[in-house]
Amino acid sequence: MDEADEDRDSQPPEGDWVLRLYVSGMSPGSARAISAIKSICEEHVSDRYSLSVFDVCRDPEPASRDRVSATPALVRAEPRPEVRIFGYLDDRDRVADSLGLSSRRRRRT
Amino acid sequence: MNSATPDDLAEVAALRRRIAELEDLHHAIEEHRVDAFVVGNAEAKRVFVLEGADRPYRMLIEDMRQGALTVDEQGLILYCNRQFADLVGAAPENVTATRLVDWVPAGDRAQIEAALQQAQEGSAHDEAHLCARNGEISCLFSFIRMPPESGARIGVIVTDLSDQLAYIELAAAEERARSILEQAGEAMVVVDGEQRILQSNAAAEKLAGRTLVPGTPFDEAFELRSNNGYSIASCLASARGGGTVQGMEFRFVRNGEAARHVLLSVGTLHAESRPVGHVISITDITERKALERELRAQAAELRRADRRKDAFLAMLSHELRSPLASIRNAAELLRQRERSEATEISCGVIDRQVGHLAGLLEELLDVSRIAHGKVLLRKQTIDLVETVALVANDHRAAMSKAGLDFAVELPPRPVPVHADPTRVTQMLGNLLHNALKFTDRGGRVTVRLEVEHEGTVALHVTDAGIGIAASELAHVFMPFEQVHPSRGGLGLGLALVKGLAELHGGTVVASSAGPGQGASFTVRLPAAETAATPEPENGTPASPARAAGSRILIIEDHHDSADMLRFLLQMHGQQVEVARSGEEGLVLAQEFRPDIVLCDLTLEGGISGYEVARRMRADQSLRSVRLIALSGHGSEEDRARTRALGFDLHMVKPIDFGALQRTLGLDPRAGGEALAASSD
Repeated sequence: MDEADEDRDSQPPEGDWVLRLYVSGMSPGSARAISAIKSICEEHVSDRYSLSVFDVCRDPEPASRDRVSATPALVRAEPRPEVRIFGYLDDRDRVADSLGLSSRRRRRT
Repeated sequence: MNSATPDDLAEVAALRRRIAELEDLHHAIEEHRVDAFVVGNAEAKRVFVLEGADRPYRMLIEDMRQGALTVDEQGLILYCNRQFADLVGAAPENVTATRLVDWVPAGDRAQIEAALQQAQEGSAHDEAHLCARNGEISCLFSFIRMPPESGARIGVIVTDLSDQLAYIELAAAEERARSILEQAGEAMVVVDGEQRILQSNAAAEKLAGRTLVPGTPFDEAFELRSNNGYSIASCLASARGGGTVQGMEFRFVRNGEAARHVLLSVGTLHAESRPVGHVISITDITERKALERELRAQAAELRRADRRKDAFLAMLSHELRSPLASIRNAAELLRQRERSEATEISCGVIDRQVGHLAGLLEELLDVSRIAHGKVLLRKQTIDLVETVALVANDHRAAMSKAGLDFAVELPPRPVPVHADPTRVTQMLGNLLHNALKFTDRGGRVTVRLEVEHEGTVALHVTDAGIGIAASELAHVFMPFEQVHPSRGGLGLGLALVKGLAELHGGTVVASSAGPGQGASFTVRLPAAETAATPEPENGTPASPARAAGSRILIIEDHHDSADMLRFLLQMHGQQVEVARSGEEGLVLAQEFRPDIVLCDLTLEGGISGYEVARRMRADQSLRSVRLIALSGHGSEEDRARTRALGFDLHMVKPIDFGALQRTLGLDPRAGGEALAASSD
């Protein structure tokens, strides 16, 4: 993260958020990812986000369209630029930072 | 950078080898040449299996009939199977990461939250509603605590109870249908769209003579043939098209046995208003048909017997009439030749007895005619008061002789009815005769005529006789039925009354309080609407009196009858010739030139009387001859036939000589009653 990013972090990007989460079945990683992302969204952008959870075991097509080759993976389609995060998503600080939601702001809320 | 030490170079080479290895691994992964990953450090290793052993379980859960979910401790949905997504009507990706209570109506949410809490300790079950695709449905929610390392806290199974209830109902309905099918006496078979047997009952297997395994083609189990061009396929097609297929007759050949006759009815089974199969019921009518044939044969035999009986009665009366006529005419001859007291008495006896016998014959014929609708009424408007008074007067002597008190009650005003006076006289005569017969000396017989209400006239004949048991009342009007056979008679009198009353559009009823209580008979006739002018008398008026010395030709094969007639006619100064056959008669007619020909209709051998008449009428020289038919039959049909063939008159045997005299205008003073003969 550079300085400019740090500045924007104080305010989450405006507009509706469109998030796509890719998980694989009932794996513990999937469960943890879903719980974590849901709670982050509710905390920062409640009422202005849509979250879809795709199970790549059920249908790998949506994942391939989003160029997701490993799960869990989160794609922030809106707002731009597109953000992609791979690997375990239950590290809330890491995820929040990647999405441009500052940990300081989270603590204030 | 070109002052690299050998150590640096070695490190670079090692890194290159490492990169090459990783690229190789990367290729292996990309090209699906690995099936598992072992990940971790020295302390903990984990194995990731690709397309692994959990796939079958997964598919089981994905495709099971119940909704399956995993949720975390807050009730957030981490996984849902296809069935749950279908139940709530959302895409699975939009169901995951929502809360379970989001899919439950507000009223049931607290209940579900509590059950989730309880499930953290163990398991829980709860019945609640689910906001399903088509509105709220009742569901059973089963909560199971999951192992902590699975990542989810609770597993939820959602069972659609409405579906379950419908299924239970369906199963019950199916059970009902099956027991109906089983208990049906008829053979019933359910087939699918391809005419394969789905279900059948015991009666069907019995008829088929084999076990009907589901899947058997119907036409293999039942080989049905029809003479009428239809087939089982056409019947099913017609039923499918909405037509009624009932009672289609087929022949059913089973294991080389004789063909059985069956009736087929087909109903169509629908699922979501599309035809999916048929219910075929098969009734074995082989025995019924055999019975039917037998009954038909019996009925035909009875009809033949009935016709033979009628023919026999007609023949009998014909055969008896001729001798009766001869006896009567012989007595007449005797009376005219030998005038003594003895002959007078004897002739009286003969005359009365012959009259009685002729009456019985006439009764017998009447019953047969009425039964066959051959009686034609000569209706005219008559005053029933007058007719009843006349008939009553005729019976007064007999009543008093039998020691009976006879009372006649008539209304003061005329009672017009439209009726055949002869038949009305016959009816009342029969009833009075009946009363006379069954009432003992000292009893009372009453005739009462009354206008009951507008349109109906009732004639009651009440006696104080031996009465009729209630069980016999229904039978008294049957021909040949005699409640008290000891009292004599043919048992036809009341049957005639009934037949004649009905011919007049009326009725007759009998009533009695029981044996020894007397009986009452009531004839009801429709009253005439207005006092219509009497219809002209039907029949040919008597011809003008002829001068004595007419030339009369008798064509008759019955010798006694012919001789007697000739004798009597000659006594009255007529010129008489007798021919014994039709042919002889025609020849004689040419020579003799008769004024009158009396011709018997049924001549033995040779041509009949009808043919004689036809030929005479065809002959110019004989055309003006007065042609009189002598017949054993006197029905309207018989009379019409003789009239059509050119006869001037039709006389019924036995020929009453007095009537013949009047008809021929031979003896103007003769006033004797015409007996059985009528000359019209």
